[in-house]
Amino acid sequence: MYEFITFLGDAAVIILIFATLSLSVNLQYGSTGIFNFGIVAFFMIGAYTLSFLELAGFPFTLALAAAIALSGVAGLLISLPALNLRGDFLSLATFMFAEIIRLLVLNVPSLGGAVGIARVPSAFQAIKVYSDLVAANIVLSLAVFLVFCVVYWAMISSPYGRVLKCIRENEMLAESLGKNTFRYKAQVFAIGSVMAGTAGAVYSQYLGFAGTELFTYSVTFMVYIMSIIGGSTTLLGALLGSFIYLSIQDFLRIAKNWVTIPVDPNNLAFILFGFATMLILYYRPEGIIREKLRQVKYPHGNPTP
Amino acid sequence: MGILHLKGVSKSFGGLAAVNDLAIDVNEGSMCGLIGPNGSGKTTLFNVISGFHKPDRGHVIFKGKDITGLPAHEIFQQGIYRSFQSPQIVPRLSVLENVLLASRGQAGEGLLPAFLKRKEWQETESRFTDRAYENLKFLGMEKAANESPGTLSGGQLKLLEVARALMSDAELLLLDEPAAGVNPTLAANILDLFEHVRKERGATLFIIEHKMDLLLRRVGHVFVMNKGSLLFQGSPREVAKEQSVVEAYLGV
Amino acid sequence: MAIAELLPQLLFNSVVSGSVFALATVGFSLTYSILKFPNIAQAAFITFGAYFAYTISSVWMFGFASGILAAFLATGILGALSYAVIFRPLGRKVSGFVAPTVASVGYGLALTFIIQQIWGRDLLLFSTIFDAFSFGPFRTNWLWNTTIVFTLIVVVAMHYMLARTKFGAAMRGTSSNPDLVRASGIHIDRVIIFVWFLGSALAGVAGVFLAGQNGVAPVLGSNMLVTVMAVAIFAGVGSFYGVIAAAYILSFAQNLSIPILLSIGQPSFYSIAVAYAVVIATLLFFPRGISGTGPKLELLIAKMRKVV
Repeated sequence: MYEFITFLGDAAVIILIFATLSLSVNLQYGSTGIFNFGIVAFFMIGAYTLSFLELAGFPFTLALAAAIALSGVAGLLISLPALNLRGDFLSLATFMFAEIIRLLVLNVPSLGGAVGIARVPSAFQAIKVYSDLVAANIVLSLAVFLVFCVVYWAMISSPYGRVLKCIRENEMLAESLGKNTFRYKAQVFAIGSVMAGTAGAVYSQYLGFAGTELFTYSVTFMVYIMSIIGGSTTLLGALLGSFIYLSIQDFLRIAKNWVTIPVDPNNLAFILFGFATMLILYYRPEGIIREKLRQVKYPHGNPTP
Repeated sequence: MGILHLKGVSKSFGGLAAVNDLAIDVNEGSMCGLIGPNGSGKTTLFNVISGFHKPDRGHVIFKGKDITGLPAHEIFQQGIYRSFQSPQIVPRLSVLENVLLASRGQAGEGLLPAFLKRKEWQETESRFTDRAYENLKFLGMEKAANESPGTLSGGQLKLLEVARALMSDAELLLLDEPAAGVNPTLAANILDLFEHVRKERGATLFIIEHKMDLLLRRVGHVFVMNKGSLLFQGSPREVAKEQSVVEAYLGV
Repeated sequence: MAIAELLPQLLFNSVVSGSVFALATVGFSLTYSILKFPNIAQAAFITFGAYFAYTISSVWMFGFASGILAAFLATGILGALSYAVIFRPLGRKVSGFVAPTVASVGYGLALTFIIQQIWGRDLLLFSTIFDAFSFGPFRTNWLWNTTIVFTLIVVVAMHYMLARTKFGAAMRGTSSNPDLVRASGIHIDRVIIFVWFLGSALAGVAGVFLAGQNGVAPVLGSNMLVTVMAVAIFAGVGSFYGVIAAAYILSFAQNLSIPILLSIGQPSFYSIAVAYAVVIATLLFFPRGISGTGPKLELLIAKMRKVV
């Protein structure tokens, strides 16, 4: 029983970390239409920054702050040339960027190389009991997710968010109505990168490890699938997508102990997600939880968020 | 010098001169027409004025200030509103929000104010929402305020442009065929509405329109373009009688 | 060892790997230019070809050669079906590049794990062994020779089709001027299906050649995906000749930079970085790739044809 609860707790931590990643996609792609296919790069930058700094002796809080700052700066820098590209080229460019820095880290031993960085200290040095550690990490990953939920919500439900949606669907109109679309997109890209980097920092201190095999482009694909299925335009959609994806994956893995399935559950999960993605794109492209048109009251109305 | 002054404006695409050494003066508070056969460069000229194209040569002066080469979003902030030939909408925002986008001075559209100056932008939002709603009501569209613009008819989409123009509080309105594709009654209505905007707000109207009869009865001055150059300009009556204008239209 | 001594062998190796790059990328580039999206499932097609060839070659008496043919046909059919069942209906319902791109991600995922389900995850090896032998100044083997010859045949055949046949002209016109193609009486959809068939078939064969070298594994295609993208970007999407040129140029750049880097004490990984740096530079400064100089390239080829 104890093991099962700890197992659930572990699942919760990972779900929350990936919910933050999905939120990053929802902000950039779902709300603003920026198809950033290099999300894993910032996930990785956050993870490695935290790992290096903690191993160098810095406390978790400082290492986290550095991870946040560095992923934000990286995001901003990458966005400047990238956002000048047409949408599909943007996706290819960001994809290649993520691959390049992954290969860089993989091949340079002083950055961890193929072995990666082991024995990354946990944020909670004082806790020795495993189940307590998991519980503490639930609190941490939940806190991170909630903070970014507030950020996301504040952006989307304000006039700023209205401009983002306009950029998403009609960039020319946004420009003609006085919105500096490049600045908006760069801001969104940077904030999205911060979300991914923070998630990465929490991830690596939780695993106690950072290695390039954790940061392949498959992660970007996975997060996009979560976002598309759960709902790319809403906050809850990010959480739902992460939850559905990871819990089905875990469920199938365990289920093979009790039920004989003809298909290897590892394979089945991905086959299902692949088909689910295609079906969702055809029948319900905005995902399960969709954004609603804001209903405004008159007089003195303010949009209901 | 009028509120809008163009001198020596030229723009080419791959060797083809779309606009060729154009000089135009539009008086403040007037309603001017821009006509010419297809391909004469009218929309390109609007694109240059509104910042979507940088001219190869020449200057665009607005209210005495040189705005040549400024990006489109800055041109709007200077007080110029521009509409497009085909109606531009944001399908996943409500009609009201589509109108609200055209407002100027909503601090909440900035990143930091969205977080930090919540009270302030909420108050502005409340005022602007009322104003947008009033505008829609004035146009008879208030029932669609909370729906997607995808449900609007072609005529209503053109009215949406009027609502945006009202919302923008702009001093110069560049309207690219504001009454295209609607029945004659509605077309006349739309132009009357813009005329109303001019009278009430003191705005200047510069209109591209193919429906000559609608235009010529309302505007004070007409510019005729042909093959990128200014062929002729004058009062509507003068233009209607001008031989070279007739030939230009027949020749194409 | 002096670079001059290594050069002939390096050049030969570059031709071999460049051929594989070209076969893997042609389909990606063509479908990108016609349907305007990067087909991520191309990686899965590469993997599929390898596995299919493995199965056929182990039961058929002609072994490896039959595997190549089987992979060509089977992967081609798979590609054509993928268009008909997935991407054509999706393209009719939704506009833009995002939906088909993400769909291709999901499809590639499902396909790769179906393959894994059928064949398992372990590394499989073809029963044919390719012994090395000397061929003039080069060390080579039958796998490499077959790769080069196959690619040569494909290039010549494609060139003939594109330049001399009506269908080929339609292929060239479909991405830039679909209305013109329709007006000429050719069904655009047939052109598109053929492009998907051919592009996937070649990808499948690329997979066979890759697997002949490294063995058959589920990650075969995914490992190639980044290279395919790099070649396609450098080539400038859509031009067949651009892809061929880009494939060999990048392959040369990558191979030739290895001894140079080693001689100045840098790790050989940077050879890939050279290729990727070229790609990034292309994206930033020459967004239409080397075939953005398309008209010039075609003029050059036309001149060369007069000479040869």
